[in-house]
Amino acid sequence: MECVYKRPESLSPYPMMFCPGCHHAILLKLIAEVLDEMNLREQAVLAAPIGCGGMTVPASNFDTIFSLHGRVPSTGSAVKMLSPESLVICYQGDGDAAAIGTAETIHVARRGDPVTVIFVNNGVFGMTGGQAAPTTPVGTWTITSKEGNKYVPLKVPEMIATLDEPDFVARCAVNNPKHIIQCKKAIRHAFERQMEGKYSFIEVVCACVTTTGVKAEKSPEFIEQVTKSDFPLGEFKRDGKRL
Amino acid sequence: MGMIKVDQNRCKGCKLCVVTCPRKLLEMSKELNANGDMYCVQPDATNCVGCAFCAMICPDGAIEVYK
Repeated sequence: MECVYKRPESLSPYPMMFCPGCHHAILLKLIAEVLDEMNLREQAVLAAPIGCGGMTVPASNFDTIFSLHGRVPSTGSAVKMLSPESLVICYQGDGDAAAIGTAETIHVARRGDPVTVIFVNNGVFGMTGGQAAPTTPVGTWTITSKEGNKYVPLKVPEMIATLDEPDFVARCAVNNPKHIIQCKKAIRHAFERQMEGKYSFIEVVCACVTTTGVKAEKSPEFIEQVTKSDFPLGEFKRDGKRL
Repeated sequence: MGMIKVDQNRCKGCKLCVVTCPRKLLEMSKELNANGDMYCVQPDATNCVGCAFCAMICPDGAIEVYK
């Protein structure tokens, strides 16, 4: 019998620090798989944020750099300017990219710096205890919106797609094998375009299985509902053209 | 046909693989691992087709698939 699937080498051999069933870990494993397939592990630099996304640093078996809260795209652009041959992955959570760092997110996209921003939207401020975030879907229970969130969430990819410079803008999810395969293709395309000097932005709709009251085994269904109501999946821009 | 190998001490018992398996072949163990979590087991591998969906969704990379 031959091995058809095993743990990618770009993940560190130590156990991950994420909660059981966290979708962050599925996404990080996908990034590691793509790096292994494209043979880019030596060139990759992951700019890590503050928050749950910061736990990618001990889990990655490639270069990483920590940045201030919300300033991940700025740090990533600096790394890319100083070593243009590197592959820069700006890994951000929703508190990072859509709350405190909205300005950096938008202005790096406006300049079109050749980096790949991966925006992990779990709809809640996870590490601080589960408060409602700017990306919480309407009607979701959180500890600061006990009767359901009443504000409409911020849709970052739609906003980025209105700018001229971004080359590839998409929204994916990692809740079932179909969406995982689509997300992997999107990440691969984004990395290929980055090596040609283009900016790309991928939002990944995830679930926080600890603070939102959704159990890990129910999280695929929860994300299925969220993607139908608030965050429709798909590509918004490809090869610089709006779709 | 196919079979899976689970790294028992890496599994955190989130049950994502149990709900994702299209043939419902996986279940949680009765024993606990070194961290005190139940881990995923495949009691009977005869119907496994080696689709690797369980390994794809495993957040901890605990599952290896053989075909």
